[in-house]
Amino acid sequence: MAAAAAEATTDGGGKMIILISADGKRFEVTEAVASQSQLISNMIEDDCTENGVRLPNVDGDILTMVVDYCNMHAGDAAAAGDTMKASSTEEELKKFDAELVQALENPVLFKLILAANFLNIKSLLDMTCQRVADMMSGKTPEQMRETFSIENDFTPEEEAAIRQENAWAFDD
Amino acid sequence: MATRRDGGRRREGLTAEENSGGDWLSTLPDEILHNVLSFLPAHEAVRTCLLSRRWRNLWRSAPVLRIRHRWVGVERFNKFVNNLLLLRDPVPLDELEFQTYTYWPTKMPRPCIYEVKYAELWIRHALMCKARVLRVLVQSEHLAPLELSMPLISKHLTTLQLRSVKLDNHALDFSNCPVLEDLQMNCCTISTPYNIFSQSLKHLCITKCNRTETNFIDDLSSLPTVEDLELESCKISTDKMVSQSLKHLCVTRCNFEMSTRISVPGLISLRLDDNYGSIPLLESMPLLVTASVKFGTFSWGCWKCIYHPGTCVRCDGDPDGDGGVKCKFFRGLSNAANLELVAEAGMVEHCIVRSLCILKQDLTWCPTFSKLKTLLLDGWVVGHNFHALGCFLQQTPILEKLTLQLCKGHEDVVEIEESSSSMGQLVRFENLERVEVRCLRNDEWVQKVFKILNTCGVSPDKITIQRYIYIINMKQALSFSNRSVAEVSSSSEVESQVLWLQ
Repeated sequence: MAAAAAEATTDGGGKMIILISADGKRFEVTEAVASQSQLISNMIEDDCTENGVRLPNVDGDILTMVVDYCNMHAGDAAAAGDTMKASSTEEELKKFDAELVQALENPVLFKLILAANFLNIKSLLDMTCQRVADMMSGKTPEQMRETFSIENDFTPEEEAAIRQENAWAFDD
Repeated sequence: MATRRDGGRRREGLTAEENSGGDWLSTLPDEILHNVLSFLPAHEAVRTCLLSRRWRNLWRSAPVLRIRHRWVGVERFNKFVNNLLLLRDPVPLDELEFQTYTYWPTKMPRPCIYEVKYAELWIRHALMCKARVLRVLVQSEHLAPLELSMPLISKHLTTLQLRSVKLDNHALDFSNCPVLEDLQMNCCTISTPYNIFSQSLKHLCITKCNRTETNFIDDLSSLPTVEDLELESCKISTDKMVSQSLKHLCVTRCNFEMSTRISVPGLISLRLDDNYGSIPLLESMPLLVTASVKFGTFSWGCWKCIYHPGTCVRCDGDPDGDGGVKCKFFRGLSNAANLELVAEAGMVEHCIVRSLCILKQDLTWCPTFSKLKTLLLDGWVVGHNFHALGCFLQQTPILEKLTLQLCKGHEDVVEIEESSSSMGQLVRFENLERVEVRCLRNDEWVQKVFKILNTCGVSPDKITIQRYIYIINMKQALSFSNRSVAEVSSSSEVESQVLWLQ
C-alpha cells in the first residue's frame, strides 16, 4: 500500500514520496519538497524511496515541522523566474521562518537541529543554529550557562587561567 | 595537564528527560557547534571558551570568523584580530567577514591608516587558510580608506565582498582567483582606466561607486563569463556596454551620462529602474524573456538634444540612414514575453513630455511584440494619453494579460488626449484572458480606458477594475497590496496601506 501511494503523482505531475517518522507517522510529500533534504535527494537518485523513507531518529511532531518548512520553501527555485512573485514569496518566507524559529523552545530546537542535521537540510540547520547563536549573543559566559543549563566543570583556578590565556578577547 | 580536546567527547544515549531539561547544547556534535559559533561575532565566539571543558577549544576550529570592530580602541582591536588568527587551529577557514570603522562616533577623525594597517595582512592570511568567502566591509565617512594594491591569489575564493575599499589595477586583476564567481563592490574606488579581469566571474554587483568613472563596464570582454550584472547608484559614462555572456542586467538609480548603447545579445532579463540622465539604446536581444523599465524622474531621451523632437539628427534621422540611431528603446524589448513599463508619478512636466515623445516616436517604428504575454503599463505611460496603449494594443498579437495602472499623482489628470483615429486598425485579442485596471478615483480615465478596450473588442467580463484610496502615508503606497479592505482595516499597519475598493 505504501508502495502504491509512493508512486502516486500529484496534479502537478511531481512524484510523491512517503516519509515515516520514528513513531510511525506518515507524511506524503512531492519529490521536489523532499529533495531539499540532501539525504532524501540522494535516496531519490539511487531509487530507494519506493517503499517510503523511514526516519528512525525523527519524531512525528518534529517531522511535521520539517515537512512544513520544506513545503514552504519548495517554491523558492520555481518562483525565482517571476520577479514580482518572488519578492512577495520571499517576504512570506521570511515571516514564516521568523515565526517558526521564534516559537522554538529549548528541547524542540535541539530536536529540530538534529533532524535538520540528519536529513541534511542546510538552510534549516543554519536557521536553527542561528537561533542558538542569537540566544547566546550579548550574554556573559555565566548567562550563557544559565540559558542552556551548561554545567561549569572548571575549577575556579582553571577558569581564571583560561581567562588570562585569552585576555585579548575579554578586555573591553 | 588537560589536553586540547579534553572536553570534546560527545555524550551518547541521552534520555528524553535529559534532553528536555539538561545541557542538550553541549551534547551536539562539534560540527553543529561550529556552525552555531559561525553565527556569532568572533569575540563572542572566543568567549565561549569559559563555558565548560566541552567548549574550551571549540572556537579554535570554527570555520567562519565574523570580526566586528567594537569601540575598544585601535590597538586593542588589532591585538584581538592578530591573536584570533594566530591562536586559531591551523584548519581551513571557510569564511572571513571583517567589519571595521574608520571613523569614531565622536567628531574626532583619526587617520585611517592606523585603523586598517593590518587589514591586507589579515586578508592574505584568510586566503592562505583557503577561505572560500571573504567579506571586507569598511564603514567610512571618507571614500575607500583601505587600499588593496596587490592581486589576490587563491584557488579557493568563490565570493568576495568589498565595501569602501580602493582597488588599483593590480587588485582588479582576479585572474589568480580561478574559481571566483561572485564579486560585490559597495562604495569602492576603482582606478580607471583599468578593467576588472576575471576568467571565472559570474555575478558582479557594483553599488554606489558614484565618484568613480564606471568606464570599465564599456567593454566586458575582460569578464568573458559574467552572467549577472547589477549596477546601483553608479555614474555610467560610457557610450557602449558590450557583453556576449550577460544573461541578467539590472541597473538601478544610475546616471547615464550619455545614451549608452547596450549590446548584450544573450540577455534573458533586463531591469532598468529609476535611472536618470539619457535613456540607453538597446540593441537586439532575441532571448529576452522579462523586461521591467521604470523611467526615473529625471530621465530624458537623447543626450545630445535633450530630446527636442525635430532638432536632432540622432533622434529624428531616417531610421534606415546611417545617422539614424533613433531611440531604439522598444525595438530592443520587442522579444520580451513579460514587460512592465512604469513611470514615476513625480516626473516633472518637461520630462513627461520628452518621455512621451520617445514613446511616440519609438513605438511608431516598433516592430511587433510577437512574444508578449503579460504587459503592465503604469503612470504617465497611460495616464496622459492613450498613444502608448494604442500602439501596444496593435503590436501585441498574443497578449494574455494586460494591467493598466494609474497611481498617486495622476488622479487630477483631466486633459487626456483621446482620438479614436489614433487607435488605427486593432488586432483581435484571441489570447487575452484578463485585463486589470487599477487606479485612484479617476472615473474619467477609467471610462476612457474602458471605451478603448471595448473598441478593441475586449469583452467587459475580462476587465477587472480595482480602485484604491490612500491613507496618510503615501511613501509606501505604491507597493500594491492584495489584501481585502476588511483585512487592511483590521491591521495595525493602516497608515501605510493602500486600500482597494471593490
